Amino acid sequence: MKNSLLYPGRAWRWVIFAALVLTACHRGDRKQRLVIGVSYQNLQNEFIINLQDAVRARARALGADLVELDAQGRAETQIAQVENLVAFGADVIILSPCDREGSAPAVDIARREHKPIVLVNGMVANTAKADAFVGSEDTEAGRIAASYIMELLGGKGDIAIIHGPNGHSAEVLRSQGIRDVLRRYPSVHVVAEQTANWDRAQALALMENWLAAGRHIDAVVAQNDEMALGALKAIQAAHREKDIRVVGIDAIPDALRAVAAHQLAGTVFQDARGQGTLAVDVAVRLARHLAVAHDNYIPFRLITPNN
Amino acid sequence: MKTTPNHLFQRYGIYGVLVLLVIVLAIVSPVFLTGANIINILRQVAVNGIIAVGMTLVIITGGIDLSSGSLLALSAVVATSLAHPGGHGAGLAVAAGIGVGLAMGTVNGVLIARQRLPPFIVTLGMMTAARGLALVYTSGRPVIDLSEGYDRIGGGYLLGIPVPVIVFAGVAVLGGALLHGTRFGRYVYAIGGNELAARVSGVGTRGILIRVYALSGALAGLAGIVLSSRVMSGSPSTGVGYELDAIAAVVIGGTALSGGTGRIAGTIAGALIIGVMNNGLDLLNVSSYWQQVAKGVIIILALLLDKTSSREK
Repeated sequence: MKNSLLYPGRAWRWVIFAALVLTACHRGDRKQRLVIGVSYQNLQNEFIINLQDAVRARARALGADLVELDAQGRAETQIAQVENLVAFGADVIILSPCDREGSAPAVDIARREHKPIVLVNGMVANTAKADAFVGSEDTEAGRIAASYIMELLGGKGDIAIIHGPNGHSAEVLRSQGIRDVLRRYPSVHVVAEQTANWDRAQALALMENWLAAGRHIDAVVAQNDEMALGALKAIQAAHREKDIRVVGIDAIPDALRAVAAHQLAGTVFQDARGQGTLAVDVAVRLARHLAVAHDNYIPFRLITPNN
Repeated sequence: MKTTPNHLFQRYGIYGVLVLLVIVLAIVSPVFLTGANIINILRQVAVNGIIAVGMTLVIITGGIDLSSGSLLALSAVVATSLAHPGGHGAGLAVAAGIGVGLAMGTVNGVLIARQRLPPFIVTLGMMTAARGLALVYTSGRPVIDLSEGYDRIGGGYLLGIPVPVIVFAGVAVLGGALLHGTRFGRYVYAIGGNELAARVSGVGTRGILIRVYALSGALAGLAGIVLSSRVMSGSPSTGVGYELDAIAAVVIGGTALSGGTGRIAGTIAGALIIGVMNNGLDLLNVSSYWQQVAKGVIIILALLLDKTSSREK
């Protein structure tokens, strides 16, 4: 609701226009500087902010100018932003999609206008049409987290799964990865499963309720670290940290500290810096008409107290 | 005051709904009525309940406060940023968090009372702006690494009762006393009943309105402190939509959105209905898709039951 007040108003388009004109003039002064237009899915998300930091650092190092826009989680905003970036003369576009389906038309627009476009962090329905994809496979994160828990439990026991928002692409793919692993362990039972919408407070309440229900749980797989930390808080308050292990995904700083303190069993590191850096590298190569690979996967990495 | 059955039902119907819900859950889930679970529910209700007390006063004046969730986040990030270990201690953090909510709530109140702007729009603007400020203040990242002292607000106990529950109870009792036992409270009802009449009969409506919105902001700030100390992090994206949960609690509790009527006790019952329902659906491990459906249906059913029971007799 709040976004509709601010976007996509005409005033905003003029501000973007002015910014681009200024960048373009600026570019005219010096020798041919490359302009990279970026539409981020949501700069209220810590992971995307880290991605942005890497994009900025790499663009500065390569001497490219950036025009950065924040879609605030709305696919329709993202489409308008890509239209604007195309219309006002960015040389290449980097898109971190909000939505698998909703952001797909943005790729078609770039394609139609013969602007190279790089997808970073997330796929869209027509990923094949984009010039390149840079990111990690979310199913792999789910598989890594679940395999690690299976290793800790010796392949048997009762586990609880805390999901991201229903239908969010990372939720869907991480769930699939977790299920792929669990299917191989017939003596493992998923005794509780619920969404906490990536939110720490919601996961805390959820875990408190599960513990109050007296449900037997050996381990919790949370689809992100915020929720893992919320569940951990409830487990600690109930003094059950000895018998319930928790694993998260993302490796945010707070989670890394909890892993180092042997509170969280582990987390799965998604490399924001690697994704952002490589996205800029690929974009610059595309703008210079150099060959790039279409799929550029950055592997996830398991973080445990031992590494 | 007359005490006909009609009147009794009108006033107490919502408590009947709460009792009914509790009985049903106690039957289907053996752990629902355990002491640990009841403490659990009360702790989970605290944040929404604290916001809802302020919201009750606002709605009784015929207004609305959409900025609560954002003010909660702004207070949470300001308070947590002052609560690092070896910092100034939890006292300053708490004062700053409540102070920020109070200040922003006062801005709401001044714009509504003095500039005669519609509360819906003023607080909608504040909702956007305060969320933005929280993001600016933190550069979008959650504030972490908080002191042990701060942990005690959300995670501590006093005489075996969790601190958030005590804070919530204190807010409810003081809010009830303020609304039902003081001249200020009578003026709040008067404004919602008929603001013009209240003003003509000498009530300083502007000052009252400003104080009502300031109080709502301060309570959102207090809720932000409770929430952030419960999860031990101050996230600028926390509390999205919390104003709607608070409004739901107020309306389920029998306060009309048109203003002029309502009681704090009803709001507490409304908040408890929402909390009991969340807890019960988790205990029963209802799938998350169906939970959303169930929550919506139960909210509307509670209103319907309350309404028909008060009409029947």
